[in-house]
Amino acid sequence: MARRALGLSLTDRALPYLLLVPALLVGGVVLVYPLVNGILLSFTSYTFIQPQYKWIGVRNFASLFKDPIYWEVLLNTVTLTFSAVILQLALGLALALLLNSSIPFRGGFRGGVFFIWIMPEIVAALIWMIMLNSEFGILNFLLQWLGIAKHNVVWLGRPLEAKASLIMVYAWRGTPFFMVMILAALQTVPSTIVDASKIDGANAVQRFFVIIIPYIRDIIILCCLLSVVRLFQDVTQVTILTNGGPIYSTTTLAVHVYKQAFVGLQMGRAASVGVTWLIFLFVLAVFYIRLVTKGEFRK
Amino acid sequence: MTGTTDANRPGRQRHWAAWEWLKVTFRRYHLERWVFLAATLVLVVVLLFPILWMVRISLTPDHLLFVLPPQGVFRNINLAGYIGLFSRIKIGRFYFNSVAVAFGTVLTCVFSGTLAAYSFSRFKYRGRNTLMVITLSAQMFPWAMLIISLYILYIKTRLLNSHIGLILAHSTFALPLTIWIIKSYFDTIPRELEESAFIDGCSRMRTLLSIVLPLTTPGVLAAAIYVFLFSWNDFLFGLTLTTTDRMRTLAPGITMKFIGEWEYHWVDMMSTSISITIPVVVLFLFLQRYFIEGLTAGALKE
Repeated sequence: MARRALGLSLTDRALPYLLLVPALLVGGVVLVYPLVNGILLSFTSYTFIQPQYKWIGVRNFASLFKDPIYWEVLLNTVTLTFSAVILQLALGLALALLLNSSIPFRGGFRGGVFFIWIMPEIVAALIWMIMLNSEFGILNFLLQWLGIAKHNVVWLGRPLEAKASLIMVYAWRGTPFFMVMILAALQTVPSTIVDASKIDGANAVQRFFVIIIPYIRDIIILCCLLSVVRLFQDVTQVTILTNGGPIYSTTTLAVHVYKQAFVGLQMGRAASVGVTWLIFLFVLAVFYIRLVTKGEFRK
Repeated sequence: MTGTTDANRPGRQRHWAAWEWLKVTFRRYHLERWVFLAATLVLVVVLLFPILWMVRISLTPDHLLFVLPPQGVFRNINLAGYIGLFSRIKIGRFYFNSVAVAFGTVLTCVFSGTLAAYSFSRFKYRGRNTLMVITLSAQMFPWAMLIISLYILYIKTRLLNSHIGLILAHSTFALPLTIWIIKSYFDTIPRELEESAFIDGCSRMRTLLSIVLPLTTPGVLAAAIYVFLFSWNDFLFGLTLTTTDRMRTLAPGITMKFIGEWEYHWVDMMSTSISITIPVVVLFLFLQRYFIEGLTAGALKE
């Protein structure tokens, strides 16, 4: 009896840790190890042909910061990500507000648009590759038919147009996410407050800025953060649509790391680009964790 | 001075009257509903156009493929793209690999994720906060960099080109999300429920399995859906961590086929794309509620 009681209290104290064991095993082996190893790699001259951890100090970083391509890539990442997120927010917010009114088929519209977000990335990329084809693509035809463009636009073959295409595809993919999240947040706005403001004579614009925005502000910030994270990670869509080109005009940080490692076979150098990414990560993570865990840790 | 205001007044009044009239008519016939509906329709049609176009291309006969403006959209239907799926393009093996990897990933994540989520939600202990922070920021780790180390590790441990290797890789990236979704469901279940079970003599594990878990089924389901989607939709890990056609999953498999060998086989490209998308559509049609719940779980707690 006494032994059983002791055993119970011991397992009770160890239980929270025991429950974590499977997750730690998976996460530790394939998440923490690659991260630490990646940081180590960035200080070595590891290549595919000479796979040795030969320590070369900060030489990778020194040559990186002197490389104009690196700065171009950094600028591309910021430009593409932020333009796309702004478009996603504008479109997603508009759709959410429309679907929050009393129009018919709301569920159908929401489901249809949400589908864009859950379809495989590769399918989205292939569709757009076909639509953006400069000779036979439907987009050029539609633009001319509507009188917006006069000639065929070379979407993926010129620096500026290629950037615009990617921003368009990103915005298209991410809008449903904003829509669903903001719509869910809008439904938490108490109708009594909205009704009261109507009685007090507030018009739609005032209502939007004074009542609705404060209610959905946190969700909007969260969506923007998550979307930035997602776009930072994207290699697939860039690879399929432009392969980072023409020249380096659509190469983002993620694509640069991936291509240096698996096309240039310079693992060490690639890792050093990845390490500079961790600085961005740190800033984003601080915001994100504060937002998601409001009061969580003090519970 | 007075002259100008006098001259302005009738015009302004007429303007004002027109505005009033508009407002009254809008209210009487609920016109704003129609304006909203029209705006929504336009937006939705524009957004869904690429998907309709994918379906259209997959059914177009070869001789009409590059004809603009599009002709014979409804009259000429060509099913060759779908008939050739398993014979000409040989995606059967890719399908098998994708299904095996996706199910393996879902099982791994749901098992380890549920236990970890329960631990985070119900206990206070040293290291809990640190681990939760790591969980939350894990999705921001640079994947492209992690893949390099995984690749090197997999070569050493012979996990390269294996289902287990891919399952592990997918799990790591889907696990943080699983833990977070399920934890937010655990958080909503009152502790009193468990305490009454303890008093009745249930052990911790027993309580988890027979009292808490049944109540969290929607959360587990929502998490499982996202893990499945992540694994099914993945391109990058599949591309990097497999090296032969036999082990490739769908997304990298078909891409390797089309980009390069079959550059302008648009019909096959689109019919194959649709065939990869169908499992996602089926899941979505039956479980739409959980898709949306999973997405907003945690974010909209308070």
